[in-house]
Amino acid sequence: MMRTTTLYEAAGPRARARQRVFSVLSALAVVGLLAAIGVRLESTGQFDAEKWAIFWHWGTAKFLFDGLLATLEAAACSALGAFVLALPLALGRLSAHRGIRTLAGAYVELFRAVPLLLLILFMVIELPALGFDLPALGFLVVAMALHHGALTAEVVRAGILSLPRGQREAALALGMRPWQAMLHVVLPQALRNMLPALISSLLAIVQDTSLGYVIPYDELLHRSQDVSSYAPESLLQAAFVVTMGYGVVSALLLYVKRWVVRRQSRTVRSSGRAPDVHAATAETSGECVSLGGAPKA
Amino acid sequence: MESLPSFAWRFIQGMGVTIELSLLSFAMAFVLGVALTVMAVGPLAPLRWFAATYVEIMRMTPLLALLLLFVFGLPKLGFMYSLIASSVLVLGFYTAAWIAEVLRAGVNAVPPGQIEAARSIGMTFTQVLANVVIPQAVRTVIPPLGNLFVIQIKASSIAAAIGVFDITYTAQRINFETAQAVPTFASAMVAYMLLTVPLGMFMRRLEQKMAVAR
Repeated sequence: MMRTTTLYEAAGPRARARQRVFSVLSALAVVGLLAAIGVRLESTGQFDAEKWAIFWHWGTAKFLFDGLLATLEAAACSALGAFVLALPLALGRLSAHRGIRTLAGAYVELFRAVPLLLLILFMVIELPALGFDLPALGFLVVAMALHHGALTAEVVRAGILSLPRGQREAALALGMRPWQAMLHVVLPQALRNMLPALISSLLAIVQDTSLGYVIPYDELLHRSQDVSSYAPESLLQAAFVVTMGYGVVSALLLYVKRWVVRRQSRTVRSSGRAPDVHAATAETSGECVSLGGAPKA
Repeated sequence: MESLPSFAWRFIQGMGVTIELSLLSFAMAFVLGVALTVMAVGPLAPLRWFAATYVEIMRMTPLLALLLLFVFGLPKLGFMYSLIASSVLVLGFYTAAWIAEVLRAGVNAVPPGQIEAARSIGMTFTQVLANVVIPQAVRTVIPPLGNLFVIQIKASSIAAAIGVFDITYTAQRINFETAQAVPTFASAMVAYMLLTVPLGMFMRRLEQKMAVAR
């Protein structure tokens, strides 16, 4: 993952000895930090068996697991909505018609400017007033789809733009209509290239479902609060278990993403295509972030 | 019934809190991010491991989960911070990971040939860093950093979930009092745009100014 830097040259024997000393010292510092945290946890009795006992009950485990399923359900629905929305928006922004371009551009700019939490709160209040009586899941999914649709549209647009122009020009020269060139030549390649960035969007969506907590939508984070109000002494433990829940899902997605990147870089090299497209989409995926977000590069 | 100017004044106060949250947390994140970057590109393996693990953990945790852990969990360990301080700390810890990633990419984007050239004419490590790497790295990281700051402004809205009176929570409260959802939330949106849009324009100008032909 890390490129070998040339910031310093390969160390000679003396420098290596010095580095070894500093390595040990820094390792001690890191271990010391972790130990300090551990001691703090121990002295407040956080490792006590009875504080963890609640999680050994089948009921609690199932309760939290159902919360995880609710999180995944919300994420899946939101992702579906966002991706369905993103494609026409991205194509709209690249359209030859000025009107469509402006409209799609205005939508994307608007929803990128509004924090997701504000949007969720607004949906919870306004949708029932308009006569849409949805379950909590519905409010969350509508807000998430609108918000992440705009963010993902930017990823898709960047993916399309990062494809060498010659591809489309060649298709047009062969006599394809613009929409044929888009459908048969540009999109298949662009979608393939932006797959890693789309997985990052998915990761952001999964994490943002935790905002359903405020509705309240009964997802994983909310259930951890339920557990800790039922058993206040196990609050930190509940938080830890739930964070692990998000962590496992996120780790899986990151793993899939790295696998895709590795696979693609292999095929790109063998077919001799410009590898730049990955860098381009990876960079723009910086836009595609959770409300808590930052680039999931 | 309160008058219109008083609502406007409350939104302006909310903007002040949002600015405070995002500026303070971003400053903290920057300092932490620089430290993490130095660890990540440095020669010491334990520190590299620490920086990588830190970034990874932050990437896998939802921000709101972190905030709730901080606000409700830390008192259990005997630490207690005000709601604003907690929000700033959590936003800072969280964004530090992203800043570290951006900075590391910036350092790695400097062509190795330049560093080799600088080393071969006899510059020391610090000279290379100060005269070759950092001036160029700054140019590549300015746009993504600006981007991160805009994101930070929006992300600071999660402080509303614990009742900090930023723009989002102000909107929520005013809506409770008046039940006028559309104008209230539209004003909140305008308030956010008043912060993010000029910033975005400024960043674009800065980008053009600092762009170098490579």
